[in-house]
Amino acid sequence: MSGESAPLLRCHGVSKRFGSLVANDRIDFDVRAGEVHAIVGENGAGKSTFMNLLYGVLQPDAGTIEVRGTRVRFANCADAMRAGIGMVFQHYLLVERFTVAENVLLGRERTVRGFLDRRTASDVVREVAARYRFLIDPDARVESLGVGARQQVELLKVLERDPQIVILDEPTASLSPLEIDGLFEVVRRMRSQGRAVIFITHKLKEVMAISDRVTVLRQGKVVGKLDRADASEAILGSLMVGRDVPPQVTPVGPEPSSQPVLLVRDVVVQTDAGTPAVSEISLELKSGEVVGIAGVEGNGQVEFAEALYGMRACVSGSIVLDGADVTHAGSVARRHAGLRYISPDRQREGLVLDFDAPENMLVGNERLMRRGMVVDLAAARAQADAIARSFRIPGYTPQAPMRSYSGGTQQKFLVGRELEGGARAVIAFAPTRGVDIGAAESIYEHFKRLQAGGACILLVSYDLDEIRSLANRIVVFSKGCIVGELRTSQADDATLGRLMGGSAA
Amino acid sequence: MTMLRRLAPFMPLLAVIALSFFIVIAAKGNPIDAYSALFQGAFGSLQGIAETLTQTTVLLFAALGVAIAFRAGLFNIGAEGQLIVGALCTAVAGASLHLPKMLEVPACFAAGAIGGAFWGLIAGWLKARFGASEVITTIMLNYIAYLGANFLVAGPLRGSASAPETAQVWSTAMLSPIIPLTRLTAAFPFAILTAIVLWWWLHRTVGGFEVRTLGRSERAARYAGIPVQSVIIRTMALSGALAGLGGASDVLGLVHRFNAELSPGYGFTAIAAALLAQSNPIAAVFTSFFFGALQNGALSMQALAGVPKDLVSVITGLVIMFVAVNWFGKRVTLHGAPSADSDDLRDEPAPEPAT
Repeated sequence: MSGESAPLLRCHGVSKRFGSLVANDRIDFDVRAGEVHAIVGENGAGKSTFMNLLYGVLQPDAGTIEVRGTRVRFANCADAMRAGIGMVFQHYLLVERFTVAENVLLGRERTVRGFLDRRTASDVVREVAARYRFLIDPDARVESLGVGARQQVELLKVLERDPQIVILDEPTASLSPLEIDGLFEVVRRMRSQGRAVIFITHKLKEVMAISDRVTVLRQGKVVGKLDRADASEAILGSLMVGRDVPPQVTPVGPEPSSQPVLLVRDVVVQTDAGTPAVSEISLELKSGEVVGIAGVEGNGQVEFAEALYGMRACVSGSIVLDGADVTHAGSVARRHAGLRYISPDRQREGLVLDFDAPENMLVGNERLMRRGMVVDLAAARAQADAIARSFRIPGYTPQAPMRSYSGGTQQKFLVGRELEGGARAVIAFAPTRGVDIGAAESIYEHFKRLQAGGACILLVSYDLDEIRSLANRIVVFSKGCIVGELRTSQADDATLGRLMGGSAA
Repeated sequence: MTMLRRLAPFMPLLAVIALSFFIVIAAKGNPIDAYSALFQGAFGSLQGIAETLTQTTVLLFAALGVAIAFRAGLFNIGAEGQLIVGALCTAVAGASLHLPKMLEVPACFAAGAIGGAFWGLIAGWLKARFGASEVITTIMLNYIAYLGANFLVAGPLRGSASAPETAQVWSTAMLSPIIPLTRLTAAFPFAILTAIVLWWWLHRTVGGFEVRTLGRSERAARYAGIPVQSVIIRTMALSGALAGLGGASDVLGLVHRFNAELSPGYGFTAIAAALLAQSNPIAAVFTSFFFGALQNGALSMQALAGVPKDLVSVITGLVIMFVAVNWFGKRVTLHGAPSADSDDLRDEPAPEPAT
């Protein structure tokens, strides 16, 4: 430990309980000026609770928090902000119709004699953006911005207040490699300005790349405190999980056979607004094959996946599943034929959070699991039980609404449902996003089993490591077109990054 | 906290009852007198109870209609209009068809259901086809129903010399009291049965599942391959049919003809009853009973305690207001409201590491 300067923020014995669950158990933590301190842990390890305690969203049951040596008690976020703490949330909270400047200064609008002063607002935001070398137009509407730019708006919201302590909650969750590099530049600049940065993540590679110190949480407790020099991905991984973790990149599954399962030819799809989303995409997935689609978010992947699944019409082209043309079939008929879709938005689309687990087994299967006009609740219950067993879901109660489970558990139910019952072709869209290592492992295991059974998987993901570890073959999407196709062995970061950026192979 | 959560459904009632105490005092009445008179009127005699159940019947049909629409995520404000159209169709059928009672009564109920369904379907179609908000269209359709019915009974459908109303229905179309000297008819058990069947349909059938899925998440419904537009239209039709049955039970059991003033606002009270029941058909039986008792007791309250019966409308309005409150729920904060993805806030132990 290099303890030259006194910490800007120090916590001692901070605890928080929810009912019988101890979410944070006597956590000691500190962060100094000019330091990036990463907090890592699996889902449910207590990271978010701890951040919410630091930012005044929640109040600790025990323990003390000190800022610059003075003990503080935050009744709400406003108190935390006044104490010089800023937080960038994982989920963006932006007003789509407002401009960048309006969003950044929301609640602190610049006025002249009671009227909004747009010009000053733009200037203020432009000035802050320039300090961090953001290329962003303060007068652009947020709805026109991509994910990376939206995150910059969130960052600007926080940085404009000039906080001494900045908390970043899973900031890289939906960024492309290039955007992640850009974010790290910003983090380094904050560090060199003498700010304290608290960086929450479960991606160990990023921890190694950006942090000075690491605190590892497991089941609400601090199980490790290391300088980066003493840490490695393997050490952090085993601390997080509590046992040794096999290397993240598992060997690619068996070589596929030559029998095609899913044939996509010249498929053209439009966005909701009627603009082209993907143009003339052709793909062939063979039995037992995993094909990965890499690309920056918003390059037509969602529309393409929805069109394959039958939620969105194909303007032209054809989709053939096991020799049968399903181009004009609805999603119910496609499911019946063995097509499945792990939706990237489990909370609003793939699952119904107010339903219990058995009812969620019926979502999408309501016309397949039935006896006459009556839904087959017994079959749904049996399926939910089977998933709870095979994915080792602790404390499963059939009556509990899906909402009451952690994100990782929700994802297990979604994946389990989609892989059950005669799946032939699975569109797996970001299947392990926001899921801890243990859950991701068991999801991958199920993929392998499915592959061995002769089904094919189309893996769409923004996580390149995930694609590389699972796919036999990788195609790269850019602006709705396939701009490259590679064998997994050829797919290094530089090549993929260049293709994802839009230049042809 | 769990105890308090269980109480949450009853909080609007308790709050409204407490608040109306002060309203009665402000109106220079005695709240104790007012409530005892109200209670006397609603439950003080066999006749009182029977009349309470009679009021419950019409309300329950309409409340079931509003509830089923809620379950699909549709806010049907048009139960009143659907009830009026249903009642008018029932009265016309009852006065023109002349069948044996075993056929006449079902035929008249069917006419009411069809009339109401048609009125609901218009709003459903406008929503599915053009995205027109059902809140706006059903409010407008209420006016069209009320004024249109007024016109019809004053002109083309007038069947009485003394007043603007339709001709009386045939005696074979009249429901007879199941308790002598009261107005309580077989429509009451029919309404209860409808509530039970509706609950079963919602929770056990494919159609009900589709409605509930749509109500919880339209995106999930699209994902599940549910024909969203068709479900919207069908649900609005079913909702209107139920309100129409309410109108039919009113005509066949109580009024025996149609006049445009036959509903004292059943369709609006039904919204409060459905909201209070959290759109559960079985709970709607009890909330309709509550409002039925209020409506019935209001007259005694006015007569005996001198408190205007309009207090009941005030109570209805207050219920709607208080139902909107999220009792004991998480406080809504602009900044840093814990999102559904922040797993640590869930009542679940951290997952055991897989072995």
